[in-house]
Parts: sequence; structure tokens; C-alpha cells
Amino acid sequence: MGKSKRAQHLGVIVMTCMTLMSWSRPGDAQAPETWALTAHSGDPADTVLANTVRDLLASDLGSRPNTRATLLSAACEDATCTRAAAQAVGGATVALHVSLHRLGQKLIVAASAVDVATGDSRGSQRLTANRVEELDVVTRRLASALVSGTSAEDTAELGNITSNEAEAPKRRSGRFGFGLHLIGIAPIRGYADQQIGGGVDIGGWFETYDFVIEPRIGIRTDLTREREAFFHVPLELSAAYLFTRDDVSPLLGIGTGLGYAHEEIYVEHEVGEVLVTRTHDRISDSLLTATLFARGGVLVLRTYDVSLLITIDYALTFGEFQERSVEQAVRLSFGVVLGGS
Amino acid sequence: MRLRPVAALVVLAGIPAMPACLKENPEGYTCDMAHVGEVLSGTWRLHADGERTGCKNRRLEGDLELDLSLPLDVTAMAVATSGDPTGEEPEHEADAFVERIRRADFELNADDMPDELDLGGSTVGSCATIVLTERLPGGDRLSYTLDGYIISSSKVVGTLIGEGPETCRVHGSFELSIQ
Repeated sequence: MGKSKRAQHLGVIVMTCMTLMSWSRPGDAQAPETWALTAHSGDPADTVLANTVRDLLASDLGSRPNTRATLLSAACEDATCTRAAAQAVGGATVALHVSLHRLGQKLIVAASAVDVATGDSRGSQRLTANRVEELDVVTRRLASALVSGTSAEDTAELGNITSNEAEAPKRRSGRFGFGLHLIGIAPIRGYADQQIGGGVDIGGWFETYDFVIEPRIGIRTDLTREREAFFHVPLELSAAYLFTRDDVSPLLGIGTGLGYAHEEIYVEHEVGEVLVTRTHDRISDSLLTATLFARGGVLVLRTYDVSLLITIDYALTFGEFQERSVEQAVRLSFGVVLGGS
Repeated sequence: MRLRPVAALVVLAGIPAMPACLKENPEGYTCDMAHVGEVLSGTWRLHADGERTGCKNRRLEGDLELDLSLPLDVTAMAVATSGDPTGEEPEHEADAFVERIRRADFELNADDMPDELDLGGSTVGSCATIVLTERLPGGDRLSYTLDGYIISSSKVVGTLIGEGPETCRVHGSFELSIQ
């Protein structure tokens, strides 16, 4: 009893697997399709080449399971004509029109398939070859795409990629340059008890029609004779929108950065009216900082290789200073941008 | 035998409560009977040096100097002496009576002090503990405890600890001059 039950279960499993396999490969159960092909070339001089493409495509289709291919001698310029020719001959289920066109050095192969019985489209595909030697790859890819219903671009595999596809896509070029800037700093908070400062920045410049990206490194220090002093080395990156493409272009942007900061301040304090205590101390900080800033300004002589950049920033500098956590300043910058596109 | 651990415990527990002046300080001053609290009566002038730390506002920290902005008229009043702070009791009652008067403990009071200032303190032999507190207008306060030695008929020196303003702590040394 046990053995017969086990055999029954095994039989059910095998039947289930076979059913699933038959569902997963519906093409196996379908009747073979016969594709009838015609070819056309944009240039009469390429007629032989167009016929070669048609023959290669017929061969590729015929090599696929459940697919037959037959060649039609009719000189058709579109798939409708091919369908009519296929109906006249009889026996074909799909009419496929292949066209070959030259565009400069490029060879463009297009294929349109229609159902012979209904006239419904069975898909259109197109691939480009840079030379004649690649047409066999093109027809193999087209055959695969037409039968499977996928895009011809999606049939790319190692070994069947055309040189046209292998070319790196071209990118729009921008203006690369370098900038040198003089900085003035008007502190609102921090900066060694609001010492007026200045510095020099150098950096890169990448400009497109409407945007500019600018990395900078600089040295900034106080410009006063007070004991209080600051010294900053910022590394900043900004992006700004350029409002016009003229020689005078306003810009608006934001930026961020990291940096090193050293600051010294001297503090004195008096507390009490009867028990009067006076304290004095030197507070020295050397630390890493992070900066956020908003930038507005104008780019002058924008269409020239040498441009002038005038900007004003509102900057927040964050750091673990001993008696504050953020510094604020307005920064004025005059700079020159060198370099053409 | 059973009392010995208890006695040791009592001694250990008593050490923190013992007046600082009973211990010898780094300057070599000791709590003796050379000068007692009565010399504290007079007009005070106070100066202290130290350091203020632990403030919420970093700018309040640093080296510190403390001075009284006006002289304080202080009275030291003798109070009943108890215990044996500086030595053994004399054998005879008459001698003991004289000795108790000589080494009387004193409490400190001041007249005509500013309203915002409080003064408290006491002496045991030549050791003095003085507490000065000033209330600040914003509700904050400064509080200093002066723990020192009467080293002459007109001078007290010692250490200072304090609190305020806000979370600040103060420590240092002081010199109190009495006229």
C-alpha cells in the first residue's frame, strides 16, 4: 500500500512538472510560423546589399525554433505590399519588409512585420551598422527581436554588439577654467570676536550655458592689529545659476565646504558689586569646521576667455569652538576667471 | 575588643567633618592658639586670587581676582567653647576657666552691610571659616567660603572655594586684612 501511494504521489509530481514546463514554453506547443520576406534599398545601387540583408535575416529566422522563412521576389517598398505578396503566394503567416538605407557612412537596417491574415503590426525594429561587415550581426539581432517581441537594443550580448553601439556617447562640453579671488570678510558672529578679515582663494571653474560649478581652496585671516586673531583654510564647492548668457550675467547659488580654523580670543569679565571678581583668559581653538553659504553675484565679460567674478556670500561656519558652535559672516569676493571652452 | 571597629568607624567618619584648620596646611600654618578670633573684629579688606572654571558661558572662565569693593566692619563675638580643639584641659578648674576664655570661639557678624551681601563665619582657635554670599540682580548669586588661619593680629590667609555665577566653580587663595 505504502509503495503504491508513493508511486501515485510521484506521478502527480511528474504530471505537475510537465504541466508547468508546458506553460513556461508556450512556443513549443504552437504551430510553426512562416515569415515571408521582401527587401528594398533606398539607393538602387544597394539593391544587392538589401537582398543580402533579406537573405541573412531569412536564414536567422529559419534557424529559430518553430519559425520558417520564405523569400518573396516582389519589389515592395513597405510591409503592406509585402503582405499582399505573401497573401498571393499563400502559406505565410507573417509578412516582413526589410529596408536598407545609407546615412553618410552608416547603414540603417529597418524591418517591419505584419500579420498576413489580419494586417496587424507584429513590430518594427531598426539597427545601425557602421560598415557592411557588421550586417550579419544586425540581422541576427533583428531576427531575435522580431521573434521575441523585444527591442533590438535589448538583444545586445557579448559577440553581437555593433561598433556603432560601442562608441562612447558624446557629451556637451562646457567651459573649464581657473579662478583667482580676493576675499573680504565682515563677521557677524565669531571670527575671533568679529575681526575684519581677508584672504585669497584659488579654484577651478566649470561653466555650462546656465550653471557654474566652482571648487575653491583658500587662506583667510584677520586684518586687524588686535590681539584676537583667526586663520582659516577652507575647501569649498559651490554651484550657481547663471541668469543670462550675455557679457554681464547675474548668478545665484549655494555652496558647502570643510576647513581648518584657528582662532584666539582674549576675554575679561567682571561679576559682582561688593564681591567683585575679575577674570581674564585666552581662548584658543584649532579645529575642523563645516561651512554652508549662499552666494549672489555677477559674472562680467562672460563671453571672453578672461572674465571677472564679483560675489557676495552669507556664510555659516559650524565647529566645536569653546564658546560658540557657529560663526556667521558676509564675504565679498573679487576674482578673475581664466580659460575658454 | 568589640568596640574597636566602632571606634575606628567613628574616627574615619569624623575625618571629613574635621575643620581644615586642624590639619597642617602646605604653608605650614597650624590651628594653634597664637591668635584667636577676637582679632577679626575690625574693618576688613579682602583680596583673593584663583581660577574660575566650569561655567556655562566660557567667557566667564579664567584667572580670577576677587576684591571687596568697600570695607566691611565686622564684629567677632565670643561664644561658648566646647570640646578640646587645641590641647588637653588644664588640671585645675581655675586654670581651665582662664584657658577657656583665652581660647574662646568666635562668631562673626557685620553691621551696615550692603543688602545684597551676607556674611557668616566662626573661628576655632586661630582657624577661621568665613562665608560670603552676594545676590546678583538677575537672581544669580556668588558664594565664597574662605577657610584660613589667623596668622597675625591683622591678617588671615587661606584657601577660597566658591560658586557662581551660573554653574561656575572658583578655587584659589585669599588674604584678609583687618584694621
